[in-house]
Amino acid sequence: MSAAVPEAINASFVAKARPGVTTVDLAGETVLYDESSGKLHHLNPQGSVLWRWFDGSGPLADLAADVSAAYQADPAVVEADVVALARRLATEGLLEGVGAVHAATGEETEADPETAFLPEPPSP
Amino acid sequence: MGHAVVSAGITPSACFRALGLTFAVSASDVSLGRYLERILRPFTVEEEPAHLLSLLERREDGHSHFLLYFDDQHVATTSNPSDGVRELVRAVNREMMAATPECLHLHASAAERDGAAAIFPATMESGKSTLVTGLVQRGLGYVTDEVVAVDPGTLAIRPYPKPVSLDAGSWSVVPELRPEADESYLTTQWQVEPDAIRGGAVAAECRPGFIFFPGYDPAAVTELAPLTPAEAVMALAENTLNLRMHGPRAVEALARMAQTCPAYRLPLSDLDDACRLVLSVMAGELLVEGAGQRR
Repeated sequence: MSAAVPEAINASFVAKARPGVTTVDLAGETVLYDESSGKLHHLNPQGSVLWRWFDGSGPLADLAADVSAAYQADPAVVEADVVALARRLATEGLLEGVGAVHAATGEETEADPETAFLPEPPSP
Repeated sequence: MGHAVVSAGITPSACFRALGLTFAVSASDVSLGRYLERILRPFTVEEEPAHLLSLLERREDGHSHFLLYFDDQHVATTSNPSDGVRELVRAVNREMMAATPECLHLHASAAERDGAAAIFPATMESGKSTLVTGLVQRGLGYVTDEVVAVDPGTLAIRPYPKPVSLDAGSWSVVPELRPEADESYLTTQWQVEPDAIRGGAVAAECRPGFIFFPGYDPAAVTELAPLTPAEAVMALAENTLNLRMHGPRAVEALARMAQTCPAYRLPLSDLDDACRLVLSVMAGELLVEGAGQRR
């Protein structure tokens, strides 16, 4: 399913990174660089896990089910968090087929989506 | 060269090379010209300059104005020579960056030891010039106090030993560095040549070794707060002046830097304490929980 605006994203949405977004993995966290806007985004470890799964392979509902099974977390909470994260990333223009096309301001901001269901990753 | 000054019969200085920029300077006052030559001495080369920076005094209605030109282009007008010199140094910064588009330009100061640089990215008024001055006084090599030029492929840092620009707030901390020059050149900012801080202080090419994000706050406790590599990349990016020009390659270079260099926030209110912390980290004597463990 495609969503015209971020608010329309629901569990049936198939999330995929927009071309032109560079992903840099750093010790469990992620920095995203959006070439079209010049903005950087910082994902915490939980957001980083989900971002790697936003590969266009299936709807958010399937991803949420996999994650809730893997982390033994409440499926409803996981699904709500996954949808919320997708909406936030879409609002930043980072997902394909949805979200505002923002002006190329060159401004760099940090989006650090909070996800409640995943435990803190162990320290290496 | 263009050359209001040459046409006015004023002799330009020796040639200076600031990375990719070659230039001479000239002033309508001999004493001011000598001051400029002295503070730019680390850039001296035996070449033909491609550009001329001219600082000219013009008197109107009993008042003096100082006009700065880059070749024939009017850059700035100031009401006193001290601001004129500051604008000239800023113009050198700008033109140096324009002449080295291949480099990443971090808004940062830096000092080095044994080829490893401590980089201090920060906005204006964060204490990065004062901090690097203190570290050079304590034996580190001087890289720059304003723009760290990094090769995004190799991460090599090309020294840019401009004069250290000290604002009035720093003067009481290092009063011994007050330049020997006419008082009117020093009313708003001191330009301190690196050798006046410590003889032979200018560093050779080096590599990033440590990253500290200073933030001067007179009420702060001077301490180190470790950053994760991702946090360091975000903070480095905020202080990368030409990030968009280099795009993803710049972000990848910053990531390599953050993966190999411990990074810290450094709120500071005391120069001695800040220098002691930085030197301890550089010497491997101080391990702050977090910075080394999260890599």
